[in-house]
Amino acid sequence: MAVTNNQRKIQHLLLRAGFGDNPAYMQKNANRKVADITGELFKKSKSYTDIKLFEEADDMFQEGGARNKEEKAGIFKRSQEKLKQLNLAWMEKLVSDDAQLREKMTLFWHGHFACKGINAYFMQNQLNTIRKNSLGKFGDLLLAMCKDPAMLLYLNNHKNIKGKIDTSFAKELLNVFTLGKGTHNEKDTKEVARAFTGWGFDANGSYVYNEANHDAEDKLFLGTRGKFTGEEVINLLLQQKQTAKFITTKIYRYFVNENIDGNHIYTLSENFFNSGYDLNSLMKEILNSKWFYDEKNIGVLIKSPIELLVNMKRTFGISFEDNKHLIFLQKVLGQVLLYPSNVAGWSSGKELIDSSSLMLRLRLPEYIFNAAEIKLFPKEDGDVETDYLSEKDFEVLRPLVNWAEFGKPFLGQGQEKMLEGMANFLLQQPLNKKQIELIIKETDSIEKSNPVLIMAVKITSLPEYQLC
Amino acid sequence: MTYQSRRSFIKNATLATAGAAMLPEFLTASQMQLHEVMKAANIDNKVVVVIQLSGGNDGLNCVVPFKNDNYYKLRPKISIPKDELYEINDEVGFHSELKVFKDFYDQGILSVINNVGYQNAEKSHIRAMEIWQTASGTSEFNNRSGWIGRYLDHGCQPTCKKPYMAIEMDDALNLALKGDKLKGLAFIDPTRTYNHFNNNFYKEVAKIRDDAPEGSPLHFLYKTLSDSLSSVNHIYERSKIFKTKTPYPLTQFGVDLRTVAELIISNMETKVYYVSLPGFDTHVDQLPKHEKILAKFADGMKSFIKDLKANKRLDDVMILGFSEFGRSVKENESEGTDHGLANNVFLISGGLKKKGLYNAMPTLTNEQLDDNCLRASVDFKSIYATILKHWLSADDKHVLGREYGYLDFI
Repeated sequence: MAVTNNQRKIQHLLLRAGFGDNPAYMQKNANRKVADITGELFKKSKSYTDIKLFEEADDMFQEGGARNKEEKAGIFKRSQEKLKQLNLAWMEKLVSDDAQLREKMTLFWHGHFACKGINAYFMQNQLNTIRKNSLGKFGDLLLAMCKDPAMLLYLNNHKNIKGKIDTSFAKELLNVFTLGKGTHNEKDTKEVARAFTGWGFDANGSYVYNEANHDAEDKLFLGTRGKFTGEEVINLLLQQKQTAKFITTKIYRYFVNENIDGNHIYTLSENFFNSGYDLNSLMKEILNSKWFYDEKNIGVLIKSPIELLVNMKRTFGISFEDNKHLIFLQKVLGQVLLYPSNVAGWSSGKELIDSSSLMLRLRLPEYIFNAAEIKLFPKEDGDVETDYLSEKDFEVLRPLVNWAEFGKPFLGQGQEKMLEGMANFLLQQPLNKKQIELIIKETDSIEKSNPVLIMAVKITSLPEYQLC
Repeated sequence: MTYQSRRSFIKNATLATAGAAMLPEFLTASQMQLHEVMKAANIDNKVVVVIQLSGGNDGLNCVVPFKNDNYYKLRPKISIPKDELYEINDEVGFHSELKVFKDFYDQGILSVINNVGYQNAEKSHIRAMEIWQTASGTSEFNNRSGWIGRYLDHGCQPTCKKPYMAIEMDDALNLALKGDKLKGLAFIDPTRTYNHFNNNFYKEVAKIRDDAPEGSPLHFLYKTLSDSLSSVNHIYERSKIFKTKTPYPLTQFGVDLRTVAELIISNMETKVYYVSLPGFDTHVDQLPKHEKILAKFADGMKSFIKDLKANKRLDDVMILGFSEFGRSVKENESEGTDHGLANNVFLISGGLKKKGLYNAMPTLTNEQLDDNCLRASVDFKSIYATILKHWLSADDKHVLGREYGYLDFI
């Protein structure tokens, strides 16, 4: 598989707008026009289907709840099990679904609208709401998140009632979801909290508006006075260009480069605003732009743990003997789906890297491909309810990888060509001469039962593999 | 094999390595001399050891106000009767598993600060722990840097450039030790970590990417890798210098403390060590569970203090023991306690100015309680400020972002 500049561009597109692809795909498509592949990406992300694991909330979450501590413990145990199932079902979507852009956007929004909860049914519904709206109008997604039971519960809005406001929800709405910090004052936050009084939910996971709890008096928000409802506040927020700029900047940092280009942001956010916050158009504009493929934007993002895992699974077609090993890997790498660290979402970029996390990431291929014994344990939160995430019942991972399939495009042209092809496929930063010599030397020094595996492990053990 | 966690795993692992690598006497002797030399030359090698009791320790059942009727009224089933306590005065006694804390108290190396917390305290474990680790306010969300990491950034330049200046005994680094520029190092066993890193491939890899542009993510990754390799190497070499003869309990906590003691006694340059002990989240059947975890805590501390004392380092070490929150003063229906607010904080050192009970015990009257939980009267950030300023000679204002005032335990 000869590398072309075109192939690197396609890989760039697929890594950013999705989670990469396998060598067979690349062999087949390396010479196609990038614009065609981009078009296909959007087309494949048009359709949408729910993840449907649970039909209803656990009875015990319903009216009355648990009668005693045994019942309560039972609910938690069942819910933890369900959350694991939901985590893995979504992981499967990220890895295998053709709607790669939609799933990637969903992961982005899940970090933006960071939320967690023990009620797996609520979390499933929230996840589906995000998946459904992730490429639609931002305003629809925002409103849906503000009416989402898991979110209302997580941000305490059921305790936000007329005369006794709780500002947790309002703070996140302004600081994290729309305007960003430093754009409003404490008074604004309180007024917004008043507008959202009465927004609640029932045990079945439906949004419920409780008029008796709503504060219908005058509010003063961002210089406008009115008897604002929550919906009206959301509309006011969408009328602020700052909201378009804030969202555009966050998307740019996530999909393009942590260092932003002011001109690009300006144009993108103006167009985003004028399109009525159409996410599909925004993403099209970014992914079809010439600058998206500028050298300075390629291979410069540090993969998040989920990106790293999903990308590896997709590239190598890895399947685990026990899928719960994937939960262990998420936890130990520091990013568990449906379990963001706090309302600010997950860490990103350089924040993710310290000596210990880098070492683990560099050793990951050894653990996954060479069954190296995993002696480490995930950090415990100290919380009895989340101890289950730190459990470990195995010493080695025993995944299945179809090496013949993976290696096919690289074989038959001698060792150096094979390395070149594989490195150009797996890494977005080209290797230098000394690195190539080192890997050839390392591969030679090992008795070769499976040269493809050995070479792949070496390449993926390089710091370059942490970048996309 | 059944599920296990780090806590249970260690039992098997340590049996295999215990007793290995006892070094010749002369090495220990020379190490002792080095310490004397440094002391004579007035070279500062003060260190901080943070002990994080994860899950929310019930401080009220650790330091018990046995003359306080409110205590017994609010906890009919899980209070500790006077005759089971180690009394330190007419009103206060330590939990039966904390006998060693009474010894520390008697020796004048313990200070207990009551009612420590912050305004608008959080009751979620993760969130509360983040607040303690980052030293931020309840409404600030900081995923980037913690108080020890920022101390590395600002406090102890230029010597703090290496990751090993702040060490956590864990497989992963917590937020407290991450700075914006510099980050500490997490490991459990210096030898195991050394063997992981000490691999020719990584060593070679670290050397040959000499063309990454400064400031690029690629450069950052390679710099982190090479700093990690040299730090791990340094720690491994240091860890061979001194092997303690003091017996430690074979719990993960005990083994962690033994490693820390050995590094401190080896005059490692590290300024801050961080050790965690999880298992304090006692919602149900608290009494036996708390007793068990306190025994683990006390057994570890007993060996640790004995070791530091025998090696004449206790005067240079400030131990800070905290939990992300206290527990509800009122017991719940499951004979346990739920997440609370303020709690007590332990300081153990040979260099304490104010010893014993630092401030008054909580009265547990209504005005001190908020929804059956204790309100804070001492901000934990003032404890950090005091340690940063008066123990580590750092600019606490810069590290913490503002002034919180100082306490006078140092």
